[in-house]
Amino acid sequence: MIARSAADCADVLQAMAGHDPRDATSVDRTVDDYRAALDRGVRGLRIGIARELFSAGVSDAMQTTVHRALHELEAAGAILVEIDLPSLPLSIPAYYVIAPAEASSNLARYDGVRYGRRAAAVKGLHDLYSRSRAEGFGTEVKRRILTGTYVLSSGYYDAYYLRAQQVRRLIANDFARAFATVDLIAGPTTPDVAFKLGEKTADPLAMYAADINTVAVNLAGLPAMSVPAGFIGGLPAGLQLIGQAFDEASLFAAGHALQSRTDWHLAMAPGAVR
Amino acid sequence: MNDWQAVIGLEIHVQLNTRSKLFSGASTAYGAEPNTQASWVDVALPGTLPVPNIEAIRKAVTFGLAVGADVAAESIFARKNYFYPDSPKGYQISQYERPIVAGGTILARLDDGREITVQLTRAHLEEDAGKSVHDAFHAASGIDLNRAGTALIEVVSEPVMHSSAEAVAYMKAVHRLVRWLDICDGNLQEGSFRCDANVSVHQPGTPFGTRCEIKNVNSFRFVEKAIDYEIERQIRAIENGERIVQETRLYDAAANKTRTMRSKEDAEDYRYFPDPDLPPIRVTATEFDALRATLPELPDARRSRYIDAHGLTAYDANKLTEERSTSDYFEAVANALPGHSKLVANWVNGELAAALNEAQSAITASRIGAPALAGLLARIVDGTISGKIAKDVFAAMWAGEQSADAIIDARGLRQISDSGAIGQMLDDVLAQFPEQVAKYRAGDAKLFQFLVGQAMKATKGKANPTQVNELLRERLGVTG
Repeated sequence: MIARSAADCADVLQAMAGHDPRDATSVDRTVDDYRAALDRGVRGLRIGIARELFSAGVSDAMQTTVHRALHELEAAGAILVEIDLPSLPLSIPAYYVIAPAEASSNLARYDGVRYGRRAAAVKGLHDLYSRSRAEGFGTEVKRRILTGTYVLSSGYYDAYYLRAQQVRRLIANDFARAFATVDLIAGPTTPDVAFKLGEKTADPLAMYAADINTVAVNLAGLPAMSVPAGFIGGLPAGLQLIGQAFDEASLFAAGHALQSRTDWHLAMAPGAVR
Repeated sequence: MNDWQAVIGLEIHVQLNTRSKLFSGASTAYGAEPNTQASWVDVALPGTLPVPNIEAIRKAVTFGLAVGADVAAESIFARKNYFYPDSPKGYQISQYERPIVAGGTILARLDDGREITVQLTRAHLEEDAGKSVHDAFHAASGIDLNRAGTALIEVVSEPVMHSSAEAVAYMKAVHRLVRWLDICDGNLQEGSFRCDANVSVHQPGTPFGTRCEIKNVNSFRFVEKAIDYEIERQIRAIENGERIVQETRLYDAAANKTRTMRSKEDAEDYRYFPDPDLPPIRVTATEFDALRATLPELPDARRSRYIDAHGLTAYDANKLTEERSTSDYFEAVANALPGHSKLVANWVNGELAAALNEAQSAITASRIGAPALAGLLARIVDGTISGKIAKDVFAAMWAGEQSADAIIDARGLRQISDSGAIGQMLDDVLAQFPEQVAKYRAGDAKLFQFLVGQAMKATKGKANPTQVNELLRERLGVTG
């Protein structure tokens, strides 16, 4: 979800959140009052600064920019605590095994039979499948389908998919341990500001590496929010806040506290057109 | 050489008789217009998600409890990935590493009376595929997704059977059980109960031979013939020095042959993995207890009870426990007539079964309900009518007349048990047939039955036959 402010975000989530009886993975529990949480402030809120979110690959400028935002929260009464998430560096390899595996299966329904792209003048069933899918999917999607098919294959499943799920558990355990002492975890959303369009297309691994700080929350099943934290060389930088499962309220409290003291979320990048 | 032994294991697809599908609310009723019972989940529209049908899970657990298996407190749905037009998601939701039911046994009885105990490997929940229709359109196939997503359990046996007769007996035992438990309608023609047979041959004491799987056989007779053909084919091949290749074969009923469908080299890699859209299936202790409490008395237990406590023959007990509705009917009548179970069994398996068969009627829709039959049999037990007259009353009841008592009264069928009246009537009969009496006295014993017959005729069958015999003997001076 992308919105102009933490407050807008809270309103939208308030409308969306809740049990969905048509989704077996959705939990039936009471939804917090996010709007009320906005004005809760951050006094006494313990924010964990995860060493691994600031480690190798995070540019100096990004370090400085994110710490500046964290000091604002500290000035508003939050308590900054250093923490460790030792398995976090494994999140990229784990994510890029699990996500493509699921994608390879999830996208199987685009077979040209019932809906979506259907190749013309096909010769038989195999031709219908292979050409419809070859024509309809882009390069990155194809790469992920191939990767996912490979890691699920007989003989490779244990080494890749099962292993990645075990790593996922380690990452989730790291977060659970950290949340025993802090209310939120913070770090840069990305190691650096945006690279140029198409710049890393030829090197997908370098492109995936830019996801290092954000994929862990998906693996661990936690809510997270990226809040504008200023500009580096004219490009926006984000502070990422990570909450405990179902504690979106604390994210909104911290996000709104920051946006009450700063105007980064209202600022436009130089040269941007509204 | 004659010492080949066949080794057979079956995979039986039991369609669960839930009203809606395993993961969608669409109806499972058979025979609707194509694609009218396929919801957005069954059609696999993007963004739709599966929601498990609790009733299907309960039925799978019920099966597990009935076969004495380990029913998993936690089991997992997995995706079996393959492309085929009747599999709209590109994968089938099934179970792989942790099925809901593991182990268990089925007792099967062969036609010759021999019993075998078949170990089950597992039974897992899965969704059915749709159907491809190949002959309805020119140069194209049609896809009917009405069946897609229907709940199944696949019951997998260990390879412990050695003949087609054993395989069929096992298949029939499973068929009887799933209908008894009311988890499957058992309709083979409509595909509610289908079987894959794994067959290999070897010489006892040597390792198992290479197996072939015969797919999708949907009749007891075809299973028997397909297995027989396959055993013969494999033995012949080996004796000719050929090697059996592991493959999937199809049974062609018209030709009575199996033929290659695909070899193991073409076998797909299904890339099973736990379905991320579905949390593990959890069955709590309370739910187990509730399902155990509703488990009916099972057919084998009833059969034993009928023999041991009711004194029925194995034949009667087998017949009565083929279907739960028949057994329930018998119980209802027998409970009303304590001590007369044999009489009840004779009537349920005899007169009633014949009438139902002729009318093509299910026993649950019988024109003569259990209380009505009990009312009729009670009149035999108390001597009001003879068994022979009872058949006439039964026919009248079947034809829609009222209760046994009303018919007996209206037609004056009450049995004559007054020995004075019977004696008087016998004297008349003897006076009427002096010649036959004389021949009888001269040693033509079979004329006794002739005289009994005349006596019964004279009373339109109403005379108590025991008394007629007794009094006639007395009059003819027969002792003992």
